[in-house]
Amino acid sequence: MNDDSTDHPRDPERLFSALWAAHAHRILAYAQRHVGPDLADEVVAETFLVAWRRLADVPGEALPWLLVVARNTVANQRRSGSRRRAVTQELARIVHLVETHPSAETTALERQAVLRALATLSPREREALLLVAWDGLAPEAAALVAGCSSSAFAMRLSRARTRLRRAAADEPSAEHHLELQDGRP
Amino acid sequence: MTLNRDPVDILARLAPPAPDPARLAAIAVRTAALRSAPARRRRSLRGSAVVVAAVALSAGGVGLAMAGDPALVPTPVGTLTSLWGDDGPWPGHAVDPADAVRVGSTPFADGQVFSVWSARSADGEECFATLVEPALPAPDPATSPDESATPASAGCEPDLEAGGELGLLATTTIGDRETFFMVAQGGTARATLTLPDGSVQELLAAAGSYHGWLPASITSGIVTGYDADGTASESLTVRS
Repeated sequence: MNDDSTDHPRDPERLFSALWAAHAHRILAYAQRHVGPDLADEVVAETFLVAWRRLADVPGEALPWLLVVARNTVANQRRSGSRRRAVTQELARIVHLVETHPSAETTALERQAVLRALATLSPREREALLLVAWDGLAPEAAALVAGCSSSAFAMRLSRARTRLRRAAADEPSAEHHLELQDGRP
Repeated sequence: MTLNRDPVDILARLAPPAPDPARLAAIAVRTAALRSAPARRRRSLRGSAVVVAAVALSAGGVGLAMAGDPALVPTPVGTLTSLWGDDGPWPGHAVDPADAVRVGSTPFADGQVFSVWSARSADGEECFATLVEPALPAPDPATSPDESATPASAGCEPDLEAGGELGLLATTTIGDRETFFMVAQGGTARATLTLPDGSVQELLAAAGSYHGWLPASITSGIVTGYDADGTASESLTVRS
């Protein structure tokens, strides 16, 4: 990590503290989408343990790097579980997060329509949208987290946006009860 | 349905708010413990962050099964004789309850206290019992517990299979109320329990283990063990 602006830029404790203060909440938000609450805490702790041990490797723009570590940690947590079940649970967690903290800037009908549309996307498309829309990453940084090239991510993101808009427009009725689909593999 | 706004914009506005600072503080404690633990310990403490046992309860009472010495404690305790006596769940340890000492107490719910008692068996084993007792206006380590006290756990030198490290030995939950737990001390000198709201409670120690509880409605807490010099050296998660 080389963008620290404290008086002791090479002090590992200060670097780590700055890293934690800036990004811990973002890593937890990411982890909460992918695993249950208890495991999400573990993912954050493990991610920052890796960051501590590899502090010299953490780039100036640390968030994508940390998210990649978190993604790998989530993958390790899941290795014994079914992929399909994990995807279904992810969708349920996204719905739960939105419904637990409903945005005052949106209506219930909007939330319902967008969540339903989100559920029709493939897991990769959904993740591409959320890395940008929720995690606040620029497409280039999101590509790192997604593990693909910038151009591939740009195409995926564009396709995801198109499909989200189309699915939301195709909604037959917003009063329809939300049923989660686990998307295409 | 026709949305008046771009669904992509709506999605961005649905981003969950920042997590609870208290939760992040609890994770920070765990991260700090992981950082300061030697690599050899880190592997095992991650592996040990698992509930070892959970035991059904008798009506109105609590039982706690310990590795190597499972048993269900009767309720109410009456006197310590009912826990350590020949008719109790741990016969054969020949503990004289008259020798029992209350090694520590800490406030519990509803004005009660959570106490840890210790005594030596005739064979030299250190035996312990944890009780939920009425409040103690003037705690006397040697005073027998009130007959209305309820046992949370008891045993003699439980099998400390945590490999000399901080390790969860057992938990038990009273219905949807408190979850009692015991943790092997390993090489630590003291331990605390950090709850999701950031509050920290010192755990009571006896017979090579720490004893505590998660309050009702709390699903997890972090036990942090400290070396004699005060360094946080190990941690694990206790879940209800």
